[in-house]
Amino acid sequence: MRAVLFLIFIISVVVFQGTLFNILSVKGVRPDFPLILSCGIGVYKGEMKGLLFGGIIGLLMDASTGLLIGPNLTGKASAGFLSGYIRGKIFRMTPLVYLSFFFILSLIDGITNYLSISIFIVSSPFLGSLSDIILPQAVYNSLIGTVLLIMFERIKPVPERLGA
Amino acid sequence: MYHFLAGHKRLLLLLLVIFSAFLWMTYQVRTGDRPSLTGLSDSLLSFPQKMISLVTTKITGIWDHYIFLAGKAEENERLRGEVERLKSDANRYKDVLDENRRLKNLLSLKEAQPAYVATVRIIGRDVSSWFRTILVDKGELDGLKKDMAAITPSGLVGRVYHVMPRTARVLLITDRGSSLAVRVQRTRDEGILEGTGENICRLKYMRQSTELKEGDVLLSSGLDGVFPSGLTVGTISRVERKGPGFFQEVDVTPATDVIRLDEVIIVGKR
Repeated sequence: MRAVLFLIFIISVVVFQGTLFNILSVKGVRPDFPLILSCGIGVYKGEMKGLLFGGIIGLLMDASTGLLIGPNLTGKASAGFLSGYIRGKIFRMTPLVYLSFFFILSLIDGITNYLSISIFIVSSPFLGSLSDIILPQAVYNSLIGTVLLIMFERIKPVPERLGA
Repeated sequence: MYHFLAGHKRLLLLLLVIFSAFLWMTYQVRTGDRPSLTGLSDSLLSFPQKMISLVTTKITGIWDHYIFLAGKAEENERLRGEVERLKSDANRYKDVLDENRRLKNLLSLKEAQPAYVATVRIIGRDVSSWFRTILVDKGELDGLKKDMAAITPSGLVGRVYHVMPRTARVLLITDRGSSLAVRVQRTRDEGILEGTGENICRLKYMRQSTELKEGDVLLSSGLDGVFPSGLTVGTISRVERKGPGFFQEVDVTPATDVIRLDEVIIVGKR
């Protein structure tokens, strides 16, 4: 039952990312909710669950695009894992830590996507992609991610350091 | 070494996932084979996407034409009820009129296109910011095939690149992986139009000696074997001749605003 609910949840996030969340798009860049969730799962449940969640949701995102399976799988799985890993090394999470945390993980996801797409689909100048997609996306994700995590913390506090 | 590996089992697992994903991507690119997962994902996603698309269209209509106006109407207490009713009616008619005009345009386009296949509604966009694609509500069962062109009355939108039984994905001309053969209407010069990932495209391989100017209209030339010739593609918005390079830098604004699309027409090769 839990697995079915988990699957429904993941499908809903991917569906909303491609439909409803378009209203939050600024110059073609939207907050990446699958990434924010992967990081959130990593923070709350540790790096292995972050890796698993990020991997599955990334796989579904890639499959829905239909161009190449791999860029989001790699990016989201890495971000999910690293969020749990970094959480284990940080003593106290503050809003500023959250901001930098989401910013760095979003950069990692963006660079992973850029590399995969440039190597396997079509190459494009890195600086252009950095200024047009990776950085705006990282800023957007870090703001939305921090607000969401702070709000969620009020319902369920972030557990003590995991695996430190 | 063994102790290091034993102490970083989890990190190794992540590296293994990344390595496997890169191997998988290499396999996909080499064989050109897209795993059946893409079909499965569309079976899972297309129905909820269609539903959400329907609901959001309704909600947007209510927001644009009722709630927003209701806020304004409160300024005048005495006339509120009357104004509300009249405005609501007027907006409903305007909505119907807009839809009617849009469909009429599509119908005239359909009649003008001998290779017409289907009129499709956009039910979703790409989930990542890296690609510019749209998901449409018709697929193989409605006659759509890979490499068919998607157009609107204003001009060319993109090409079908992935077809499922009931849905299909269209690669927009603004995607950085998109390229098509075009011709400058005024000078008849030919070039290749490439997407940039932004809402602008780039015209490639135009020699320094070619006389281009802002406002020049580009039409599809049909030489790529995908798009029918003579369709409006966009207008030149910037021309820059600089440096010793062989070609000039030319930006093109697409004729169709690909961000605000509701329906498109799919046409086959003539």
